[in-house]
Amino acid sequence: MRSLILGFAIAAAFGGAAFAQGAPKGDPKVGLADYQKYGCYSCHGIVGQGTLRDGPRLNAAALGYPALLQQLRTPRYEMPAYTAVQISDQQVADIFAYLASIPKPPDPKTIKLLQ
Amino acid sequence: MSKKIKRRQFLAGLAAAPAVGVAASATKAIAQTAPAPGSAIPPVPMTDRLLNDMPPQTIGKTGSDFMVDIMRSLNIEYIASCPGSTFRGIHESIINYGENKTPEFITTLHEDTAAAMCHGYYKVAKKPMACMVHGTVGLQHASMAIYNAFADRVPMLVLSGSIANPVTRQAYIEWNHAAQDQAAIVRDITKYDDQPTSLQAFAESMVRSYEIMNTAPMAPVLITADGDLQEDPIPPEVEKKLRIPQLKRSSQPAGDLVAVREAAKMLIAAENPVIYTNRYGRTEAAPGLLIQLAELIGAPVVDQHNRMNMPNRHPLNHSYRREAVLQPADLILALEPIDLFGLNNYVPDLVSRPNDPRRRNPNLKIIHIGTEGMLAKSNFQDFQRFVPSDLHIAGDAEATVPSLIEELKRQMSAADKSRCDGRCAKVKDVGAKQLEQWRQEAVYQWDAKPITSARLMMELWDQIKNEDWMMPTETQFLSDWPYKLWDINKPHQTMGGSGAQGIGYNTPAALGAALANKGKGRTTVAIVGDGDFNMAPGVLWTAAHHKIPILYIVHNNRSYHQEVMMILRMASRRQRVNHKNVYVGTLIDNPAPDYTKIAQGYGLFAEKAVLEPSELAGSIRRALDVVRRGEPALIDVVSDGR
Repeated sequence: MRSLILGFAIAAAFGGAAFAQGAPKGDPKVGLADYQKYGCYSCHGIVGQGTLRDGPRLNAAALGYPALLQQLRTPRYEMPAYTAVQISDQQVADIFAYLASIPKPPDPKTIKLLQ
Repeated sequence: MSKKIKRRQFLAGLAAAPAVGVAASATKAIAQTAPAPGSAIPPVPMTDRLLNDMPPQTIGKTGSDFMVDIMRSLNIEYIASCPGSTFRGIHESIINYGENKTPEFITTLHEDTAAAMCHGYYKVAKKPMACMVHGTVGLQHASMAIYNAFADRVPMLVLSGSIANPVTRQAYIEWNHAAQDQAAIVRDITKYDDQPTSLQAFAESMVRSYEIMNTAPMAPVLITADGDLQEDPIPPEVEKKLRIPQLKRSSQPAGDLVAVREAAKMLIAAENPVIYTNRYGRTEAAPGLLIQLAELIGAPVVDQHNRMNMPNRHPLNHSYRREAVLQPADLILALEPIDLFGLNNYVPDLVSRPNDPRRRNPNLKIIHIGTEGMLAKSNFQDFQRFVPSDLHIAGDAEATVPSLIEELKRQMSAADKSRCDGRCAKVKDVGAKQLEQWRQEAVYQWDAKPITSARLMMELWDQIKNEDWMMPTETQFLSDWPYKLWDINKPHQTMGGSGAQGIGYNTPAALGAALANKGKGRTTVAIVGDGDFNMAPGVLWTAAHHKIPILYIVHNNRSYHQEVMMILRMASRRQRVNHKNVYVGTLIDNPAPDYTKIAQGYGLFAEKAVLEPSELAGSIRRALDVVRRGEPALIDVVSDGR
């Protein structure tokens, strides 16, 4: 729950910015590889779904590009920083493209196991 | 020689005989038995000749037989053990004199497994189990599981052996496995220990230890049984006088009534009370009492699940709205809390480790009802950081809640009741919406690969929800999906965590729980991490050998995942960019262990590893069919990290 509140707080801090503002063109396939390579999946889940204690949800337009970049470079709370030395702006754009490419989830009412 | 010769003393006496005399006799003996030149018969060594001259052993009641009588009087149904020579007397008495019943010998392949089984067993059966561990070395093996149980305030009887008399120890091995004070290994993490020097003292100490460990705050106890005391026959004049004290159960310590009255007054006056529970639920009555209390004062409950405290779908259960309910709270009623500091503060994992107080009402008051302060030892720091409370009531919370409820009813006016009822309705209204919110969250990962925890948990839930089930394992590494989406409403369905987060708890403790569930028609499903499982996979053999039905699902993220995140944090903090190295020391891969083959090798039903979410239903169904027939099964599910 803490990670969900954190995620919304970060998104709210950038609420005025357009979702993809300033994002260089990114490759979602490269972004998926980098998302795994740099360990993003370990706290945020393989499809950016978020985990209870470690990282908020990133998929389904949870964070716009400016928020994602800012959080990577100068993170709030406990997230380790990923400076430009470790991951370039282009790589951030690729990861953003990957997260944006994750399909929207279905309506839970359509999933029998969730009723 | 007397037929009642004591074997150890006999050999000891020989060892102490004057060397010259022995040498001279030996020479003469050898000389007497030396073969004639050309004869093929080899000389008989002196030791064999002396042994051949030994009188037959005593057939009669031995000390360890009496020790079994004591365990039987305490109704110790099972004793888990990896065998060892320091308690061979008790072992033989259990299986022959006692006919392997009460206690029944449960064979484990590691002492940690034996102790952890006791931990899990108690939390279901609500009565202690025993484990027997080899002197010094076995006790060290068991010590992590004993610490987990101590930190979790769970009783277990640990029996060990030693040879107290140096003169009767056999050379080498029995010295390595003896200690003057072996309880020192675990004294900081047990509530009581003794090494009785007589059988009557042994009886009294065992009954005393049973009472002590079963009185809150509960914890493990250790009794060391001297080898000679176990193995020697009981002289008739001693046997006539032996008495096993009658077990009289203590009541649990309850809070002082004057303080309880004050607590009721504070609760009635509060505008936004919150109940916080952690290790509260001790008996099956606990959840019902907590619901009654919460509804009486209209308070949301924040439950940290170290026992089954409250049904997860009850609309007053706001465990996952913790900050939303705690920020406006003007009173927290803490029932058996573990970490009050952590409830209201945060120490983020940053270089500076700042103390970050959470946003709380400046007028916040705390009522603390619990037993933590009654068993605090300074060495292991599981007692957490100190937080003063406005009213501290030392006593078992579950034992105190009934008098608190009565006092609230006595003190509440009609206006108070109306106010609390109104508050209760509002809190319930918010609480009832949580399930829908969690369903919305679960779909974000539904069809992902590797299989995600929400999908795994709901596929499993679909197949057990209509029967009597129990999940004995921790869920924080599964993002707590069972607590969000399952319907946990019976006291036996969950049992909290390890206590001290010593990895390797879940797999054996789950088996202890399954042992307690055996014969009740209850399905035990244990979801264990691969890191936890690999600590003592021999647990599976014990499950197969003793035909304990349990379904193990290995949440196989192929890593010590928590440490993957920790090393990432360290590397980023130090601006070291080689991310491949994160997996050095944290990956459980290359080769990936084949848990299916491991399980089959230990005698369990297991099919190939599950890689696709769509395969889960069939795999779980086939494995559960085996478990419902009374046998253990395992499914390896290749999973996402959390």
